[in-house]
This record gives sequence, structure tokens and C-alpha cells, in this order.
Amino acid sequence: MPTKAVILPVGNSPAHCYRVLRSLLDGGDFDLFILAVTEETKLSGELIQKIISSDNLIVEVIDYKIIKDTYDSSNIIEWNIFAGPGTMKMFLEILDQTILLNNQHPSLWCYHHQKTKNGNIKQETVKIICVNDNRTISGFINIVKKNTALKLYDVDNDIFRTYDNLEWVEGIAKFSYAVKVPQEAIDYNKIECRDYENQIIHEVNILQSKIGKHSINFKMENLPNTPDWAVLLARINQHYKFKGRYRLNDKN
Amino acid sequence: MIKIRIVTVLAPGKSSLLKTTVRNFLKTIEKAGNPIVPEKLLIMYDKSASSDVIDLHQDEDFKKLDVETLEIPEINNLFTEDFTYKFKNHDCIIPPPLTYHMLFLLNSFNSSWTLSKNKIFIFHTESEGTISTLRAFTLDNMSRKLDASPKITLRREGKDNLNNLIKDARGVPKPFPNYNERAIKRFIEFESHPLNATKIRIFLNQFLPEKSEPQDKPVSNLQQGNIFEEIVAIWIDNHSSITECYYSITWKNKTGRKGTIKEALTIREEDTIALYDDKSSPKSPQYLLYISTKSSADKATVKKKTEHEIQRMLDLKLPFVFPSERVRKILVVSTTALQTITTQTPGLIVTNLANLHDEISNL
Repeated sequence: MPTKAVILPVGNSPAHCYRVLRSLLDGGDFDLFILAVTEETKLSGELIQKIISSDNLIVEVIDYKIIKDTYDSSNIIEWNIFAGPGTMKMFLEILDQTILLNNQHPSLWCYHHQKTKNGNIKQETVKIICVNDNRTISGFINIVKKNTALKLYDVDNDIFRTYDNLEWVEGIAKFSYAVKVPQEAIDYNKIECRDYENQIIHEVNILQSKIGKHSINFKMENLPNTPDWAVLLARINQHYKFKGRYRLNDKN
Repeated sequence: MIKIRIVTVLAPGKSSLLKTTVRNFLKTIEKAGNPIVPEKLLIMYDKSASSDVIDLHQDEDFKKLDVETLEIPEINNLFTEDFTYKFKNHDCIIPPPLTYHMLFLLNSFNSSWTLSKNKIFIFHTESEGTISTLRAFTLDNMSRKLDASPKITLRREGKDNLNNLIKDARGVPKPFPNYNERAIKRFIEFESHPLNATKIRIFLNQFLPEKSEPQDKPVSNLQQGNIFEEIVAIWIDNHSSITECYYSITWKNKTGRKGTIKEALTIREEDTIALYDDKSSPKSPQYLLYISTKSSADKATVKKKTEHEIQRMLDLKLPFVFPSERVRKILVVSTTALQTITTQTPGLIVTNLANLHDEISNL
């Protein structure tokens, strides 16, 4: 029976992969769903597979290097690759293998949205689209429930007790962690400020290693409005993209 | 012999990185003796990177290439505006940082009907930066059959350019101080034993500018830290396998309009960053050394201070992108401090000045 297969690489944000997969399952016309994984993302792929299979839907989890050896080219008439998650190396390997399988250029899909000038996502523009012919998958599934997220990240509810200011944001399918700067911080000297910064960075690194770099947003609240704190936020933002505002008497 | 056009996309603030990437591509292809000859270079950019477009004609390495630039739509408009790139036979793509662009480049190849057969090359350097792959796909427009040639794996030639990486990240290093090498060696020998903090401070007095203080007066805490940092940087630079070394680098804020207070903020300072390249072993990769120094030898506080710095170094992220597999972090402390450390810390080399060269040689 002719089959349309879609390959979705699993990267460091399993919740994003999960919602893309749900959207492809619900809105696409594919017959075979393949999660391409590496050693590092194998567990995430299996967790996604487990959640999906509880809804009687079938997806396969395959090492991205052995796709060509796993599938019989005569059964598949169209290869589709969802690009974005995973590395460029993964994408190129997958591209290679699908071409070797049926000597056709695969259909290349991606997730796309437009942003406002402030960098916020224009929700009405979010879509999964095929670059080859601008076909779209109708109804992108944005929301991932908290319980599903905990299963996807293989963590339990205790994480919210350990980190008071951690929450799951369903609509963007990411965790959010708020650093609440204590009131007395306004009087910190440079060294205390630096120590506080190191403490934040340490906390952030621990959370990123537990949850994944791309799966968590950080924000800073009650930030004192002084140049020292502006420097601190700017320095942290080189790597962590904290949300927060600082104003200086900047007349230029 | 196939004449090719190199195709790449410039990311905002990454013009030096683009130069290094293309330069390494040219060297790798030349060394591999592959029958492809780069003739042209197409640099694409969108509005966000328009101020980073550089003139490469002045650069010796690019003189032989016919360089052209092309503006492409911004990410927001990728699906509403015409993607201006048009594939030409024998284009060789260096994958851009954004997958979106890669998809559009491939799509242009797939939609090109100008010849009966079209060939595209893809040259990709893997994340650890030691191996590159060259792929070739041929599309027969009569049968619409696409063939993939066997992938060629090449050892990456060319070098990282630390100066360019620091420049792209808006880092500004200080010039090296002009210390007497014999004085430095004497200090390293002197400091190789656990000493009382005052003795070290008196010894360091000789590195102060002339006529400033009496010879037997201990230097201040701040002076001690600065001189120790300078000596470490000079000593690292002195190692035969160090090809580039920068010291006391300050980083400016990346956000904020030009000429504003926000833009002028110095947000970070790093002690020393160096590039290690073992020339006696050509197959060994280049390493980026990230070095911090702590000169304290005060027995009452040194253990706590050192532990604190170890944690800071472990958490520290680089101010620019470099393959983490080839980054080595080093903390140089006083011999007194070194003796307070009882266990090794994975991911960080902790050493005193006396053992610093050996630690670098053993990378």
C-alpha cells in the first residue's frame, strides 16, 4: 500500500516535538510517523511515543543513522522531513538517506511564525508549512498540558516544590522560571551583586540540565533600577535571555 | 575539474566567523585535492545583518574569488516574499545557521529547470570542528530522478581565529605588559612553594612601575590580583603550543543603540583566553583555553575563595560560540590555594603557575 512517511527529528525540546507531532497526526495526511533520535534524545523519543500510543496512535522511534536500512523503499512513495529540531548534521544525514531510498527530493516542512517588533509571537501566524509548495497543516496544536509536560521531561511534580518560582506555560509549551530579586539587593555592593549573579547562574544551569536548554524561559522580577544591576542583567542575558526591564537615564 | 560557487548566509554580528568558515572551506578543499575549484562566493544576508556585510576583496585569501552579495527576505517574510536566491549549477552550500535558509536553498535547487542535469554540493563542518563532509546531489530534470553521490569525509583544515571570535563578540583585550621574563621565572619558582601572603605581595612589588613604591612594601590586594593575572597571561603566551593569547578582555553590551549608555556598558571581563595548537601532532585538534586566576594566598579565606571560583568557572559560558568539545577551562591559583584542594573537578583544570605549562602540554 502506498505510504506517505514523515520524519521528525527529536531535539532538545521534547515538548515542541510533541506538539509538532500531534499537529502532524491531526492535520496532515501522512501514513507513517518516524521520530528520528540520537543516543542523547532516544529517551525523549520513547517518552513521546508512549504518550502518543496511549491515544492508539502509532509512531516509530528510530536511530537517525539507520533510516535507510530500516524501511523498504518500495512501500513508501513520498518522504517528508520536518526540519528544525535536532542538529544540521542530523538533518543532512536524514536528507541523504531519503534520497538514497527513492531518488526523489523529499518534501521539506518547518514550523514558522511571525514576530512583533517586541519579539512576541503573532499567534495567528503560527503554522507548519511545506517549503516545496506552501502546503500547510491546519490547526497547529500549541497547548501542551502540565501533566503531559512532566511525562515528556521525565520529572515529577516535586520540581515545582523545589523551585518555588518555576511554572509550566501551556501555550508556549515551555517552563518559565522567575528570579525574584530580594528588596535588600538595592544596597548590594559590587561583590555582593556578583555573588548574587553567580548564584542565579548556578541555579539556571541546574534547571537547564534537568529540563533542557530550549525548554525553559527565565525572567527577572524586582530588578533594582541602577547601572550595576543593568550590567548584571545584560551579562546574564548574553546566554540566558532573561526577560526583565532596566531603564537608565539614557538621553542619547 | 568542476568550477563551483560557494553559497552561504551571513548571520548578524558574525562577519568574522563567516570569513573563517569560508577560509577553512578553501583550505580543506585545496588540501583534499578534490576536483572542485571555488570560483565565486555568494554571501546572502537579510536586513538584520545588512550592517555586517563586509568587503572581502581586500582580504588576501578571497582575492581569487568573485564575491557577490544578495539580500534575502527577513525571517518574518520568508513565506510572503520571493526568496531572491536562484540556484546555479554547481553551487556549493555551506549550511547557514538557520535551518529555514537551508530549506529554501534546497528548494531552489529542486525547482531549477534550466539545465537537463543540475548538481549541488553541500559542505558541512561537524560541531566539534575537526571533520567536514562534502555531499553532492544530481537532479536529472528529464526523469526528475535525484542521485546522491557517496558522502566524502575530510579532515578540517584551516584554523580558528580567536582574534575574530573576540572581535565579533565585541571583546577588547588589553595589551600585554612588558615584564622581564627572568623576573617572571623567578616569581614562578618562588611561588611554587606554599608561602605566606605578605611574602608574595612583597615579591610582586618589583613588577610595579618604577619609582612608585619602596621595594620592600607589599603590593595591595588589587595590585596583587592584577599582576598575578598578567604574569599568568604572559606565561601562557610563552608556551610553544599557544598560537593566540589575549588577556584582560572586556566585553561591551550587545544591545542598546549605538552611542547610548546601554551600548557603552562594559558587562564582562575575562582574565585570559588562548588558542592551543599542538604543531608536533598535526591531527590533534585546536583547543580554546579559558583561564581564570585567583592569586589569594591568605590561609584564612583561600579555601572558600577557591571553591567559590571553581563553581563560577564550571557555570561559566563563553561569550561567543565555540564547539564545547574543544574548550578547556583552567583555573590558576596560588600554591597555597592549590594545597587546599583535595579532589579533582571534572571539566576544570586547577593548577598553580609552576605546573601550568605541564598541564597545557598534557591537554
